[in-house]
Amino acid sequence: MAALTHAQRFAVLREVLAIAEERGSVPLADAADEVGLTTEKLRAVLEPVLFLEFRDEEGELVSLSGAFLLDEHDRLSVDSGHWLRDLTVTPPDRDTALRLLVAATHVRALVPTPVPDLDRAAGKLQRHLQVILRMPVAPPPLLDVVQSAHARGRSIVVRYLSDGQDEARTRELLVWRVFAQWGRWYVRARDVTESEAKFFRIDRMLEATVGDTAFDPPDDAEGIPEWFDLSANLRTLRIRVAARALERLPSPHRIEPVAEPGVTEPGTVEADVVEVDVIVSGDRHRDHVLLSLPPEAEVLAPPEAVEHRRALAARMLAAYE
Amino acid sequence: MPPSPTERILNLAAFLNDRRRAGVTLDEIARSVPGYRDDADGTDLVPQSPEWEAVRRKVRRDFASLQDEWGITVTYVEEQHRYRLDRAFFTPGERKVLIAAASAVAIDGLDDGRPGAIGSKVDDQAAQIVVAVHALVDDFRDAIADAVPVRFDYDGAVRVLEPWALGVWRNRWYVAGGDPTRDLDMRRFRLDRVRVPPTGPALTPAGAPGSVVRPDWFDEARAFDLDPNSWGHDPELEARVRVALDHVPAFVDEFGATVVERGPDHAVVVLTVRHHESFLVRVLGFRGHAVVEAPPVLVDLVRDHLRAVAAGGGA
Repeated sequence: MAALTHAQRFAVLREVLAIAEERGSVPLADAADEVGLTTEKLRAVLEPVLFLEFRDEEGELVSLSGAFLLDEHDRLSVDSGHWLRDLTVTPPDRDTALRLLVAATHVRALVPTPVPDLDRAAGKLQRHLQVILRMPVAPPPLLDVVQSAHARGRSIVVRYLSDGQDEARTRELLVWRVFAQWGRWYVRARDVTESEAKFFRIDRMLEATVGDTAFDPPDDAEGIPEWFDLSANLRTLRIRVAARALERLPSPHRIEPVAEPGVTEPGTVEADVVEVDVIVSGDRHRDHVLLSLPPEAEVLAPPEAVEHRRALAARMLAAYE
Repeated sequence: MPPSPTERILNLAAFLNDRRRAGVTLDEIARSVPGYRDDADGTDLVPQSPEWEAVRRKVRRDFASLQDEWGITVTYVEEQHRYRLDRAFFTPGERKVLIAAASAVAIDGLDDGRPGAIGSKVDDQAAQIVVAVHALVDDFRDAIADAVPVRFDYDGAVRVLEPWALGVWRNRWYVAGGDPTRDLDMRRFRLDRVRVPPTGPALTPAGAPGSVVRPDWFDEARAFDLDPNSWGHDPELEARVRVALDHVPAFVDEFGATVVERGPDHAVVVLTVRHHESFLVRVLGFRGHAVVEAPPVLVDLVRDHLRAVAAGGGA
């Protein structure tokens, strides 16, 4: 392996010392893997930060060690702060600053009482970035109860309104993991009456209390899902409607054009009328789209949606007649 | 054996840190930090002498390295002839909470920062929150920071914008800015509708850096409130809606409504309506669980729509 240049040595040190500070400690071999060096090579690169030397006012050579420690098990740790970072004057690069600001903004919204260090740090990042970044974060009201039950290894008893259901039902859940994804908070939990864990949205819990069942939450090896497979719930409606009416359709949905304006009927001109497929997830969203269409909009497919739309409207209308 | 440059520079930083209150002279650096003078116990350096000049050049080179590699900067205080460390950007406490935040929040969609930057090495396997940041946030952030107007393709049309701020509404990223073709009227664009070409940037400069000035009247809280009920211009009406109890939290969340009565199986909520059509569409999402009771004009709006659809409408 070629000798490292001076700049490469510092780059390795920056990364490895960052790992030591941010993870508390790290096996030398793992750190070496991360920076693409052998353990022995990394050991040599680290030596200058493990043993610092300079003369004191009496001219005696002082050896400083202790800030970064490499123990007899070859584990690198940081003892009393990353002193080089303590001296860093220049602000983080823009990408890092934006990441930190996004993270800080979310955490600030979640902590029950202000954390002055976090507030000051977020302020510095905002001023450094010189951008206004508005990210409202509104945790659901029952998040505290759920987190408390999870932390204590206790079940939660909830009244849960499933998507598309008319009424909530009471369930007792053993919470494996609490997380937020795409702006919503979820638990991965097993209903005590079922054998498989599922995802539940915390904002759909109408009530929640810590339950009596004690359990040891398993390691949730699946982690936070990158996406939920909702393909089985997708519903497609083919409609013919004035183009401007598409703007009023409730989100979320996907629209795929079938015919362009004015050519829906060969030989006739129907300005501004389009034929599109509207793809939504779940029966509730399908029903919402059907009800929201202007009365003059035509539902072309599936055929049963035509009558379903009329029946939905008639049922709702009963409350107004 | 003389120390390597890496050792010498790190020792220099440690020495400056040790003497951060008093600062240090060039002579003190030369005597105290191994690697600057062959004879650390020799006589004082004579200013302007060849040895003094050699040490000064070496120290300055090492200061530059500390700045480039570690972001550590040193100021020479002329009247005291001493070098002092500048104040750090973050305090250790601030850095600690930022690292904790970075480990709690995993961020998708943003470029990685400089290797080894704060928060870059946290173990985010235990992260509780995953935040998706649209890929164009980076580009608009740079344009805002550089105060440069930008041109982009939006839903098939070319737009020019003086960008002022970035924000999120209902989990979607938007940019707000001034439209230079309309006397800087505020416009908002959804980032997921900006076309990203297969090659080349999505945004191109449409003016000089520094030419964008965010107006005093700009209010970011309002700019990123895209609820049509907030900015609608229909005659303002106070709506009274009866909502089944199990659906009250979702209704209140959807409309920002206020519960004024609570019965055994329903609650009555009130809200101000400024956009009648969006109110109609959103109420319909609650099917029979939300029934508009007043005012008559909104009751008629919902009833007439349902009657027309129930009657067959366009079939």
